[in-house]
Amino acid sequence: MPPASGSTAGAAPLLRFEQVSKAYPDGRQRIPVFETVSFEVHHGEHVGIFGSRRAGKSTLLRLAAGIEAPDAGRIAFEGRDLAGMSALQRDRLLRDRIGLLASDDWRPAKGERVVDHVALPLVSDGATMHEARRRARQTLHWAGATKFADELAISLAVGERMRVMLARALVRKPRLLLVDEPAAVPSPSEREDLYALLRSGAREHKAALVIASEDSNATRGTDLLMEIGGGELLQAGGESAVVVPLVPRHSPRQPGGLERSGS
Amino acid sequence: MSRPSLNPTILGVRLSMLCRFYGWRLRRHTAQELLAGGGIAVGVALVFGVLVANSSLMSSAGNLLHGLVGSARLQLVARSSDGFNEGLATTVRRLPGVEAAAGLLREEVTVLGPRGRESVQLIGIDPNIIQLGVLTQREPVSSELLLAGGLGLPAEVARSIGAGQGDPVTLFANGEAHPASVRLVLSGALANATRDGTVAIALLPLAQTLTGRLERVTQVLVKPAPGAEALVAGELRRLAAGRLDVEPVEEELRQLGSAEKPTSQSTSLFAAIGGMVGFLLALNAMLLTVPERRRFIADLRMQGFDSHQVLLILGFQALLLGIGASLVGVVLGDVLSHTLFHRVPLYLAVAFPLSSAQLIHASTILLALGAGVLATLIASLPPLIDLRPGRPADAVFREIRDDAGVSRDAVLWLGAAGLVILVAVTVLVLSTPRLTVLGGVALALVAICLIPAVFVTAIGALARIGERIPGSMLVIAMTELRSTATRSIALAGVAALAVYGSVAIGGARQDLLHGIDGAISHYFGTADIWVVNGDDIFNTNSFTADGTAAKIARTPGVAAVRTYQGGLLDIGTRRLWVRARAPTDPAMLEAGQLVSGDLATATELLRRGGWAAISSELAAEHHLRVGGSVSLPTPSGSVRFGVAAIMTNSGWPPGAITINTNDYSRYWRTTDPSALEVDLEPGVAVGTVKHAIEGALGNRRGLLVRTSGERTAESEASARQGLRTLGEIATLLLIAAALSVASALGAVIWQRRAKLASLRIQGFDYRQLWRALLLESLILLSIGSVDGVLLGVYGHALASRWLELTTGFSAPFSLGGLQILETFLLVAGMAIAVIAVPGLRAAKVPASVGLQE
Amino acid sequence: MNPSAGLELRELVKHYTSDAEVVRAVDGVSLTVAPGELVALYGPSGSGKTTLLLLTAGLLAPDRGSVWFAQREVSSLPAAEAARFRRREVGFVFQSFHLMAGATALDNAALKLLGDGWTLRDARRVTRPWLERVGLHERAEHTPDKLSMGERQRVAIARALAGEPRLLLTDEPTGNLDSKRSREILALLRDLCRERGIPGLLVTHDPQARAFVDRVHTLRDGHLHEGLDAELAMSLA
Repeated sequence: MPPASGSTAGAAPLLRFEQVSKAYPDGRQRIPVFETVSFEVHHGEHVGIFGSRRAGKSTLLRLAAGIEAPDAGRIAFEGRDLAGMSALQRDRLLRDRIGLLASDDWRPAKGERVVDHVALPLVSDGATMHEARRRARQTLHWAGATKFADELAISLAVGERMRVMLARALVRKPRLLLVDEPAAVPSPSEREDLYALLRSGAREHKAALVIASEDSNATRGTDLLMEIGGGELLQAGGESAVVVPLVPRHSPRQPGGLERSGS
Repeated sequence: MSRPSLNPTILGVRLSMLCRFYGWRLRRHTAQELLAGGGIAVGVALVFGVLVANSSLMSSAGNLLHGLVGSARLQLVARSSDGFNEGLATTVRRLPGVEAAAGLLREEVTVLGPRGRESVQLIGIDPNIIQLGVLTQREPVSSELLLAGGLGLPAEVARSIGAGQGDPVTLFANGEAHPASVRLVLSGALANATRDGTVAIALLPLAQTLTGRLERVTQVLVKPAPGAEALVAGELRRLAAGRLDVEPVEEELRQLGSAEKPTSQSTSLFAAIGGMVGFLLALNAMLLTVPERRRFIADLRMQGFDSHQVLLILGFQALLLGIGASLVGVVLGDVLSHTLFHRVPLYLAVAFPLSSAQLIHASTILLALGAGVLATLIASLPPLIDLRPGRPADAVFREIRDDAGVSRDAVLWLGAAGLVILVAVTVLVLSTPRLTVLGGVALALVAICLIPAVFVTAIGALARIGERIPGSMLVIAMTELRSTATRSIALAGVAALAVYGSVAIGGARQDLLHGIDGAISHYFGTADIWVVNGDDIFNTNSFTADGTAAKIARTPGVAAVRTYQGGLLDIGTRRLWVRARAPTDPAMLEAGQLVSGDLATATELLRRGGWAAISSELAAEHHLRVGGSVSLPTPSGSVRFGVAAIMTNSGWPPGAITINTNDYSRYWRTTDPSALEVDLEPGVAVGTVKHAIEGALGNRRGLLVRTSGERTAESEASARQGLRTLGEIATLLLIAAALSVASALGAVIWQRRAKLASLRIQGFDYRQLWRALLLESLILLSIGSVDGVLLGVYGHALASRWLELTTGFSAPFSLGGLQILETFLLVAGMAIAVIAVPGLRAAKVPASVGLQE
Repeated sequence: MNPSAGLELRELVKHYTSDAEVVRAVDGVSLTVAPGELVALYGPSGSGKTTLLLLTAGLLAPDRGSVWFAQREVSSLPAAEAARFRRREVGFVFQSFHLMAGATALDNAALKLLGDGWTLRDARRVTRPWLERVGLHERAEHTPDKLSMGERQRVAIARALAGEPRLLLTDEPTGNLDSKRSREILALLRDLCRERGIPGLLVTHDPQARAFVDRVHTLRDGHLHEGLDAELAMSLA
């Protein structure tokens, strides 16, 4: 199947989860993270996933990025089933279409400057490092990170890090930006700034945005808000997650597209 | 508690628990422990194998000799293979103070059995030898069987030629083929001494018949009465009248020692380099586990183990690893000494009775074990920096980074230190040539010191290049190499050392072979065809002429036949190679082997007579110069020769002397040739004439007819056999290093999976990452190889020089580009082959790994 | 309860020098924890919480001030004495609960007894009840790679308790656990301190911990405050 064009707004949704289930091995047992989850993300749409720590938010994003496979169900990106792709095709999808921003994913090389760290991914697509650096500086400037662009990447504080990671994800101009836990930033004011930056970044770069967080401020005001189980909703004996639509989708494109499951 | 003696408490920890701690570690970190243990084992194996092979040669020859001489203390020895009249033995026996004496006739012969031929030393014994305890009355069977007329062969020789008790064999001696039968495969006391020896025993009369030396012996063994040794020695000297040597029976061992010293010295040196590389491999493997062991230390300390206990636990782990790895190394080394390193050097067997018995002394094993354990303990030291007093929380509190990085200062200091050592080595070598060998070792250090600088420079340059190439994985490779700088430098250092060792050893060996080949081809190049006495490659055994030369001269196509004479002559501890050429010989000396003197003048002087060309060590030992004179102990007494030229040793470690045949015949009192040189008429086919000569020789089947080229090849093969160990050490070292660098690279790559996964999330596909990994490895190895090659070439030049200076061999320096290329391809090829698969697996690591801790 | 077996931190100061910059990790901290009391210590990352624990355990020497436990000045003990203090008196549950990978859960829990001349057999006998206490009796013979995160954490707790400690120091014991397991562990720690009458110090990020401790303190920029400060209260809300 040839890759779908980036401008197909009408035909297939950008991302589609159909009856997806996932469980994790933990020691001897498999702990279900969620069961038969279905939802869609459309071009340019902002989606929030709210849930407590270890509720399965990261897992959901990893499945969406195609870097983990579901136990059951189907995940399609621009209409193409991720399971049907080769490893190489999935790698290319990450390069060309999907940006994943996870607060854990911070492994700059020792001695690497911030601008180089942001520029490096562009080399994967045939850019020279000179060209990549120029584009990285633009994106860093946009992310308000110019003042530490030439510092060592490992020396950054958490808040600065998140901005750099955002620049790193957006510099490749993805169609879908997946953000895992922006609330890792310690100071509340910095957090709010980051949330705003995420949204404006997605808008300016014409990317759909999925934010997963335990902070309700991060997911506030999205087109679609989902809560992923855990916390007080847990049933005794299991951790099976519940996906509940708390806020109805603003756009009436797909009424009932989200199903209640697992309960 | 019930058996405190078996499970004592050391510093508050039970002995059983110390073992248990290591068991836990081994269970989890099997691969790392194997890697570290492997390095130690390889080092120990190389050193142990060579030690055993070297010491076995001497000590088994010693055993053989002592077995043969029994309780004799003194000996009367002939100065040529012609020997002296056996009646002298009877005279000796009647001398005052002599308790027993027995004559011996020794000569190199070849025995041919159903399954092969073997060059052995035929030893004819006089029954009086029983009085020396060599054959005892308790072995009447042996004596009787020998008396019945026949050969006694050591089991090893009998097996290798495929002849058993009573089987007929052919014995080539004196240029003839004699039928003989194996009367006994030696057993008993004599057999213990000769079991693995390259000897054959016969009663004196039979030996005399076989070798054509009727009523002659070459040696009389003498047992003086207690306290009468000085008296007897004086009497013997009187009897010898300056025409025979009187010496202690051990003298021959000293001569063997000086003959084999150059070879064993060089193999020991090379094995030591091998051992050092092995240690560095282990150190490298241990460095990989430093972060993990530091965490282990941190954990123990938080649980309340004090620093002594931590030291004890870690030290015990290193001890167990060291003992285990060293034991494996000793076993491997034993295998090596039995297989690769196990051979009696053919060129030595020509002149000495040798034994191939492998003798392993407990002290050798202890030495190897001790060195291995010590190396392991040293290699496991680095994590212990966390035990420095006053800083108990370092390991806990400071983030334990896998790689602490290298500071610019360290790079500069090390580089500067390297250059200083380099200059010092050059000065040292120029001022004190004998210390060249130290220079070779110091260069290894220079290779290590320069690695960080080479690394930093190369990475910088490559990174700049990579930035200009669109989509180049060079950028990734360089970023990653920079961020694992310490480890990468360590790995490049190991590669550099291996390449250094291999290039230096391999190059020097190549030079040595070239030198020897040159000497041999010049030596045999003086005639078209050589008629030689069996397997005697040095032409030291004479044969009865019997008009053979005349017969050959009559053969169609033959222009001239010249007599060549030669033998071995003992001067002090040197058993010299005496070569006598006819004055009509086109070349009296090998042009390439001249050390000092003028070739034309020397040739003229040699032809005139009364002059000799001598080897450089003999010259050095006796402070001789060209134009001076040297006194040689000939069978006619001491004779003065002028020194016409100073030569290399011409391929015979103790040295050589060249004179003309007139002088030889006169002073050695024989006209018997030890070879015949045949010139052909122009335009005749060598093969045809060779066949014709073989026909003309008729029943003298012990004489071989060889073209100059054939004899050169045979000789070269035997010289190469003696030097093979050097080449094998170089290759083993290289393979071990390549494997170890590769596995360490593999381990490093594997530890970086999370980072690779992160790069995949950021858009790199696994093929790009794989390419980056391979590129990174290749660059790392190239950096090490370039550094190693540059210094290796210098080291090679030094080693060649050292060989020339201390061993007297000719070893002209030649670059050997092909060999260097081979070395590099071997290292790079093996390493890339080994890491290709783990590299691909690491590149295909699930991207989710990048999101976990 | 024995009032003399309390923990007291007096005006503790610890500075680090990194890249010519002085980091005031702990800057004048005083705190008393009575026997049987469990005190939670909140603070943002890098606020000096871990340093404070290391000072308390005698793993670090303070620049100024002192640590007193059971009427002894821990902070001035020589290294070997401090090691014995940790081995015999402190139960230490560390953030990343390093367990020896090759050893079983039971052997891991028995670790600290092995530094006191115990044979493995005796150490196992004494340790087993503690493993049962944290609910791991069925998993005693499994190595850490066969255990879940929660189980590993419980092994680390059993290890801390096996030496019958007189002081409990824990650093993020629930950092890797889901909320249900976190509550179980927190309850266990609280109960232990109460029933054995030993003081406990709990360094944590976990909002749930507040419900299980007797007192809450905040450490920020090296200074200690009673209760949660405004910023932390907001982020934990």
